[in-house]
Amino acid sequence: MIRAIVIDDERLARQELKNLLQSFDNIQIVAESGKPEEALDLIEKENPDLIFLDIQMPGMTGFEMLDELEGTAPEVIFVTAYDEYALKAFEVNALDYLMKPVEESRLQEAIEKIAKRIAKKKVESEGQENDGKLELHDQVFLKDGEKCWFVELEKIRLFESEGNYVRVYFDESRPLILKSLNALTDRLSEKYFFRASRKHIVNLRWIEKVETWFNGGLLVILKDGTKVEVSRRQSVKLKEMMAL
Amino acid sequence: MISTAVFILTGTKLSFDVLGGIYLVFALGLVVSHLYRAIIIKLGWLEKDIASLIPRVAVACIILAIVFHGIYIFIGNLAFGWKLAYTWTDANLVTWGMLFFIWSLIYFTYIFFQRFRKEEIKNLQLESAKNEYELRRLRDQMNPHFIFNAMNTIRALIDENPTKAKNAVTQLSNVLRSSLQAGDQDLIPLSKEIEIVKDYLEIEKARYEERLEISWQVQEGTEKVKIPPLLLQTIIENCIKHGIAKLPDGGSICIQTVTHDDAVDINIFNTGVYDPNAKSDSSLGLENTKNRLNLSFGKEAWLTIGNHENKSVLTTIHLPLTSIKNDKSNSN
Repeated sequence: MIRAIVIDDERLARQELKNLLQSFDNIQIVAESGKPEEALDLIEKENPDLIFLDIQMPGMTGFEMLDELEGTAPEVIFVTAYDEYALKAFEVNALDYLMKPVEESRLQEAIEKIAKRIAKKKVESEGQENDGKLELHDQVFLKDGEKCWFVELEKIRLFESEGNYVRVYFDESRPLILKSLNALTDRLSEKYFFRASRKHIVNLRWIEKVETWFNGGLLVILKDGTKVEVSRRQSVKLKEMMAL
Repeated sequence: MISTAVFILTGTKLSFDVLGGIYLVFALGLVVSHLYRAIIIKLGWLEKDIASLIPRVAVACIILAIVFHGIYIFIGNLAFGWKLAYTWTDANLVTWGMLFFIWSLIYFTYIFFQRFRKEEIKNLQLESAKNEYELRRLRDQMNPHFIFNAMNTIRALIDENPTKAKNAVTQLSNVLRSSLQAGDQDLIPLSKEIEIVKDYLEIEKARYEERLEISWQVQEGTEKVKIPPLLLQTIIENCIKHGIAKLPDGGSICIQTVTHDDAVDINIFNTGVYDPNAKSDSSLGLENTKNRLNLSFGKEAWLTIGNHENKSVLTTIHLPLTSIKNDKSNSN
């Protein structure tokens, strides 16, 4: 069963979507909201698998709302009337959106796709202790100015601090997000993400080679060729982790 | 090279003198024609029409021929030891004149065709820009965001309140029809515009429900004033877009008409905050609206917008009553 929340500032729009969703046995609507602030609390409380999200809402757009989300972002299906500009903001196609009025067959396609992703996620996280930290298959929402991305953490190679911001390296994109590296360290699972130095967090799965560096430090070379220096103290830790 | 060509063609071997003369003509011709071109550009002859150009070119060719001939003889005498004297009857003078004239002809024809091509390209670009603008204007006029949201609302109403759904379909039809017809008329009576705005607001009310309060205070007699079609509608759409739609708890729109001695004021109060520095497509829309008023009534009509008490924005359209008088005299 997919637990879903419907978020739209118009009651009738929510009603219409709920009517359409009635015929889907695998969808259970656990809550609905007309206000983005309230919706944020609901997401935190209900921890849904999926949200249906309107883009143009008073107070906060759907994108801004996702940007406020702490923790893992649920799967999102955007439902919008006519926001060609807003949708252009998206770089990644791993996202589904529906146009109002919603066509039932399009809704079905979107839900099938999401259901597969959710099922895959559940298999991957089975048997793992969940400490509330973000795992590789979790996806995060990133927003840099007008542009937005949904990224699975396994795609992110490197986090690099730049002043008050952090640059995130994945695919061909390098958005700058307003977060501190320390806050990220606390949220990312240590099994997959390693704090190489004051400036860098690397994804362990992306490491290709480790070379010795000056003063007993290490140099990590990622699969895309990026070189990251590991501080002396962290080098000891990395050696321990990598040792048999 | 020239001597070889002449030798092959005529079988005569050119003397040093004649050959030197030919080279001299070429070299001088190149220099003088370049100077001539510079003078043409400097004097702005390229902007002149043919009628004023012909006498100028003719005079220029004569002067050039005289000067050219002088330099030709001077250099020739110096370099090749010719012993030529400058005589006004020299046939070469005519030849030089003709050569410069032909040069001018070719030059101006070339420039003309080049201009023509550039002009053509510019016209095409202008045309396409105009079409694009028109297309965008039409699309903005149709307000797709509103239409699709309205359709969605109607879909939901079909289950919940079929009567309301039916009404909404009619109202939406009226709004769409009026925006299609807006280009046909210069001015329509305010009463007609109010009908359209009422239909439009009814649909928005169905969407926003308790988040939108509407009130009308139409003073009797004001409905007859003429207004450019969709002018009020555009303003109300902005009130929704920048006012009501941005407020989580919604707000109200009040439309009030007041007569003065020779004018009618339409006051629109809506909840929200007006930011005069906000650069958006609607500030452009506001300019457009002002332009439309200006086109229809000149300085007798105006539009003002600003913040009013109680977190509301007041937009005032000031329309002259003269249009009513005109209307009466027309019907008589």
